[in-house]
Amino acid sequence: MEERIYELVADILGKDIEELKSMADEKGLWDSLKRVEIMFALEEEFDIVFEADEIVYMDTMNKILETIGKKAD
Amino acid sequence: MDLQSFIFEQKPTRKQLLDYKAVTEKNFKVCVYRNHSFELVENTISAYLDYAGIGVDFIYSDYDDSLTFLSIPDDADMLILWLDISRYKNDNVADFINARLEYLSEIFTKPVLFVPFGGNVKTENKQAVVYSMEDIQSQLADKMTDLRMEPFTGTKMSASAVSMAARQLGLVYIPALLMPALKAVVVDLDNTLYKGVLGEDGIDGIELTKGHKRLQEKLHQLSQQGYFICVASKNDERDVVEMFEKRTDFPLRKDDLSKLCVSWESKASSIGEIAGYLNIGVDSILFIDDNYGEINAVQSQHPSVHTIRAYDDAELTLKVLDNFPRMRKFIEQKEDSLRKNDIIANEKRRALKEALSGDEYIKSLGMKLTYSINCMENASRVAELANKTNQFIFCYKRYTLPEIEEMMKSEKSCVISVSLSDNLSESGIIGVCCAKLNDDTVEVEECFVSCRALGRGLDECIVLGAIGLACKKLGTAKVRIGFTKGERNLPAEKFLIKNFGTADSVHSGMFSYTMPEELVEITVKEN
Repeated sequence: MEERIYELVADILGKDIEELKSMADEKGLWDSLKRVEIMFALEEEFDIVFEADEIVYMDTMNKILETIGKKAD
Repeated sequence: MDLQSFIFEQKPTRKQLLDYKAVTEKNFKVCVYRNHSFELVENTISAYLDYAGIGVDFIYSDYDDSLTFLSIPDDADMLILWLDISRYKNDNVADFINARLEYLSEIFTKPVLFVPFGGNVKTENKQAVVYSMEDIQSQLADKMTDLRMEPFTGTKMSASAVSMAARQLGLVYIPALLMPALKAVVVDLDNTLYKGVLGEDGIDGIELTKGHKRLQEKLHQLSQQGYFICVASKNDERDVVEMFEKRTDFPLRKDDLSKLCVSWESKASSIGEIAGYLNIGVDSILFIDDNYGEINAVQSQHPSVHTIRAYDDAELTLKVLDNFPRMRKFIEQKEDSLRKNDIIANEKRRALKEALSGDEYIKSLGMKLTYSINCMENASRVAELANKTNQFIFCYKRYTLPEIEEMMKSEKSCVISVSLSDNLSESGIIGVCCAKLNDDTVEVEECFVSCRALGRGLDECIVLGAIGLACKKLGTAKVRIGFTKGERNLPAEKFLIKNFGTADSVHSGMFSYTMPEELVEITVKEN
């Protein structure tokens, strides 16, 4: 699942997966529209729905992984 | 990529639409004037625009609830007014928006698509086509909005709503407003119009499935709307004629058909024959066939023909046809329903022409020409003809409705629209002359005539008669006639050479013409 999440986000941002992994804790990797496309893609892929506060929270790759991981559990 | 399959069979996800890279060169500029975000629509529209054969550069306004319409690009080909109505709290929002649409008509004369979200606004504005997204609302209900994302997206529309809007705008609305509508649908028979093979299963053995019935109902409806519905089939013609007579359960009747091309010749040659008979370009034809090989063969000979590959499940074929680009007209013209009968009458005219001398032929038809000077109720049809005519047109000026209306109102310009009827059919408005007074000279800015009205011996009367009336209206016989050579306006070029000795880009001189009132009944009307 983690690999698939990186694949989707890297694709949307036009970045290399390994490069993205090296920036897992960095903020500011995406603007608001890219954030939305990422959220939409993840919701579609994993058939989940994020709450509004979760969307605000997920501003780094690690936080995305954490939030989706909790939903999967 | 097979876009028909991608769009209609695969039901692409948002991610797949996002990943799709447009291949069509950006040949149109569309201004998006908005008070909420359109970018999520643009992100997923490319596949649909490519299917329509259109490439669009979207230019965005600032977010503007006040609708000031400042800084609309001069070279925009159309404008999408993308409004979240729920942002307006006052009761008079409809009056406000209609007033702004009126103002917009004065400063922007190209097509306008008004897309209100979160509320309905009725408008009588003639320039604006309204897409209310009621289809999306009825499918999604409360899932049309997604307030979670609004702080980030700048819109209350949900991902599903945005995706559905992208599809409708890309397949239906934007192509309909940027390009002329298609004119003819040519259908195969076996396994397209019904299930089975006529030659093998017989008239009673072929099956009208529920999907095929709905498809035929759609084709019947298109025929009523003025589209030419034709058949191109490799079959025995007697069997086909008998099938239409005996299968009274078929919604599509023989009377709905403008041309039956039933032979063992190639479908490509049938398409060519149909185009010639209807006097239209093959790029105005949509061809529907269940056979890949036939479609490929037709496309290799006629690359500009549009095609639908028919499915075993005719409901899916119908879905493609319902959403096929340039198959929706937003303004029905009286001429649309006249067109089919006119073509049938052309056959009878051809027979008469062969039997009689020139003048006898014209007199036998009892032709009537009505010239209307600045007749505002004709403006819509004039604008439609300006954008559809490709062969007999002087300068390819694709006037919009507001531009035509402006010319009709001004004392320094005029629009002469010409209607034609004879004993066999009524053709409606078939020719137009647009002229402006420049100092002491009438500039004939544009003349265009529908091809189905040409060749009846009245070409000079239609065009020169209209120019003569424009000179009379504007008060001078000194004319300059513009001409721009294009790919397909050879008939117009030949006309100018025949009547003026030249098709130089501008012809100048003193004009006079006497209407042949002994041959044709002439009526002149002025508003």
